[in-house]
Amino acid sequence: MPLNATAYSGQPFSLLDTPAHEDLATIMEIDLVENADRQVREQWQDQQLLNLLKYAQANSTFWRHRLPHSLATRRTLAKLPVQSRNDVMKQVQSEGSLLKAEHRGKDETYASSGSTGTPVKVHLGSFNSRFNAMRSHAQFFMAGWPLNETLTFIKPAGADLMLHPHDKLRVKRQKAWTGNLSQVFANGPHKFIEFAHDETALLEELQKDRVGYLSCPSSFMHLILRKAGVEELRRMGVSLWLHHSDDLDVSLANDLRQAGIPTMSNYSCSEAGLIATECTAAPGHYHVAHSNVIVECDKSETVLVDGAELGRILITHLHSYATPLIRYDVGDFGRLDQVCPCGHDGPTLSHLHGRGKFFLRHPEGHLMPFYVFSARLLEVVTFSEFRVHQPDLATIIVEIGGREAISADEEERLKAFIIRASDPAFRVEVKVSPAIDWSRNPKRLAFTSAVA
Amino acid sequence: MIFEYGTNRLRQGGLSARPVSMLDPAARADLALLAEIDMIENGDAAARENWQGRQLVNLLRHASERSPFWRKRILTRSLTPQTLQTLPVQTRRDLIEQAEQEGSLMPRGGRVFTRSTSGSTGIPIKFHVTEQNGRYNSLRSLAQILMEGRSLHLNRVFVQSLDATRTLDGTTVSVERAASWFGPLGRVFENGHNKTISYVADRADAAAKELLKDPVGYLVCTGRQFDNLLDVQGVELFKKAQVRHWIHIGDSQDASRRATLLEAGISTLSNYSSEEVGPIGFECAQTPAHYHVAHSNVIVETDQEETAEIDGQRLGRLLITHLHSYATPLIRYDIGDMGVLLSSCPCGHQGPTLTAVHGRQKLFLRHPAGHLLKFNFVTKIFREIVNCSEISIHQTGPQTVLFLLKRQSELTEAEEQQAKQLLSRWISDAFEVVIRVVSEIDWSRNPKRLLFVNELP
Repeated sequence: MPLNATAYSGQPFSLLDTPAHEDLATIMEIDLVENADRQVREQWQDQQLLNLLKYAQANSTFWRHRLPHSLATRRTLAKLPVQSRNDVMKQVQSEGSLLKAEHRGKDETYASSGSTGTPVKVHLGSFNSRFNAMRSHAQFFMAGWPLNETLTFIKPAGADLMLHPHDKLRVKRQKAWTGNLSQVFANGPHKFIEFAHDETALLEELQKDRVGYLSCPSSFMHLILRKAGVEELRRMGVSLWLHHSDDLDVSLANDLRQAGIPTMSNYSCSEAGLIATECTAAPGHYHVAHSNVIVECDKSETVLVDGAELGRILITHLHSYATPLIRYDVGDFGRLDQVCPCGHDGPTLSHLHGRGKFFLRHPEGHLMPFYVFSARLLEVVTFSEFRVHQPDLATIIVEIGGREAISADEEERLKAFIIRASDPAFRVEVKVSPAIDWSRNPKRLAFTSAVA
Repeated sequence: MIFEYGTNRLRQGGLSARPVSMLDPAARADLALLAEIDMIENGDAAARENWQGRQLVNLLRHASERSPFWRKRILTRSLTPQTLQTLPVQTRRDLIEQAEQEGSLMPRGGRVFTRSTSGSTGIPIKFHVTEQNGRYNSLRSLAQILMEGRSLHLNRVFVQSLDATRTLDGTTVSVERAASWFGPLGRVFENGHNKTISYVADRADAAAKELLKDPVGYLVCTGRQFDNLLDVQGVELFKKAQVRHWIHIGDSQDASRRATLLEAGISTLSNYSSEEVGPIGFECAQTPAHYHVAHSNVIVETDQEETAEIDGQRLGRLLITHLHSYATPLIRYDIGDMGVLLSSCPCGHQGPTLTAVHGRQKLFLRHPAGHLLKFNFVTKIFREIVNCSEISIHQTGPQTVLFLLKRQSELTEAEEQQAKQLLSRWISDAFEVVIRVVSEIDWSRNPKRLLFVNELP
């Protein structure tokens, strides 16, 4: 990691200035916890869990009803009921933040994730935001990825941008992306793109500067690749694809890796922060972020995907003092193994499904995965935007935007495609409009289900 | 990551039990400081030199603001890193004068300690250090272990001379133990125990016996102590005691010791340090007898105005500027050693590197039977018995050792008796000890002011 010429402190008897020293200390702590021997790490997690349970018990009527009087960490945890999104909302609405005023700090924030159609608001302490940022930086140190590289981050536009139909995207630039540590380590610029629509505009923006680390969901990578192709990505200087937020399109990741662009996927949620990071040696396997969460796999409701029986992923966020998340059903399915094929001795997730919440509820009642990536759909019918919704057990509605009408042949092919991607038990409706009305779906989720 | 921890592992229960904490605060702070030291020592040269320049200017400003002595020497108010080269060399006498006249230059409030040197050049020095100096010195030596990727699991045994009081009360050997030697991080990482063996000079056998009680791992001692132990059982002692690494400190290193140990599978690393300054250089693990300057602590210069030629190498006087010497500033301080300063090490380390360091005290008497005899004189301990400002020791004849002590009054009977008693435990009975009090010591024939001069032909 190259250093800046002015990396060190000008203060007497100081090596680094205090904010950088503090951040470095946290990153080193995270490294120790994440890579500690299993026994040591689990002992720490147990203690942190006990702290959280005691705190929740002492400060929340909601949690006093759920927790036994005597707390015994992991054994206690396994006996607690699953915390649903509705439970979280109920606790937050009735009790607000559990952080005592003196610990709240100035920047207590809310996070909202509406990817399942049920937006959840939670309270976060300032230490949560700081930890999340540090955990993200720590990944670069642990992986040995240079910091003197550009980080380009693309996320869906917020409602304020969406309400201005002529604004295609919004770009923010910063000199660096490692915060206090950018004083110490040579750090590339940070480009932050909020994307509303018009992939041509997005591509033009990406072509303006070296992209470096490209951090975006699969859906955006599809858009970019469709428009530019993998060679153009190389020309733009994409040195790593950091996937986040939605389901990872494995074939897309494979294509990029074959073209010499490494990829890594982060599994996270806005309520808890980082849950797991994809193993660089064993793609598709995710090392749990031990310093942040305990992950369990609830087998009381399972789904079969490609022959693998997957359970519900339950998250216990060890630092969730403002809104405790304890056995929280994050809405995803997957498999939890105790070690990674790479040799990492720690809980490892794989077969993650539902990160875009791509699950249909079959008319017979069970859940089934359902993937409709725009790239695949475009092979059937042309459009500028699309949306799929399951309003009830029997129906799938496909909305095609950017078209006044489609031909009967196109409609037939589209329906056949959706049936192939789901099950003949469904009835498919196709709606066509020049512009999809996203006002009730500000996160512009490509798929939502009212029953899954 | 910044550190590769290698085979070092976290201790069960080593992580913090406090909410939203991973390490306890002291361990957390130490861990980050160790990484910062590593970054400075081994990081980009430009960043390091920039930092050294800023620290130097801070020190010069502090000295100039708080000390009339230094105001007379630092004539400019426009301080830059280049100011250093315009300043006169600071001799030991200068240091003594400033420390005596002005005391500590630290503002009130911080903890300051008074220390004195062992007096290896014959002029013991009293100076002041801050609490931060002690903490830095300790962390710097621990950082070296991690930077070299060495094991924290091994025990560490420090061997030293017994102090005067314990020597006079008849103690032969004393042992202190601690559960770990890695400070607050010893609760985080699995860490060997720490043992300090202090022994009276002529009872190295007792120290050796103690050494054999537990596996040693890291043996930390001066060359003189090492030789004493070697005399007891030869290198077998170190093998039996399971010494894995000898960390040499304090005095001159000798290539023959290294070779002896290497044959026994024991590695040697030498630290170049002084009591006034703390660490000055750490011997390169790949290139013996080359010392990477401790950039996070000192700036080293060589003064070529007075040089010596040894083994065909032209050595200059080593001048040390201690960047954190706020209590007693050490700026271009003539430490009394000579050496060669390279701009980089043959190993590839891009930073000032010392080699051919000479002048670190060697004390050998010629025994009447003809062989050389190690002379276990420790000025600091002697001065606990006899107060004197300077000492000069001469072997003036085959059986005579003369001690010249600079002081205002003659020794009392009790002082003389205690001094002779102490010396008899340090020096063989084959010698007659003569103690003479003088008002001034004539150093004209010993300009380096070496503590000991053998006048035998």
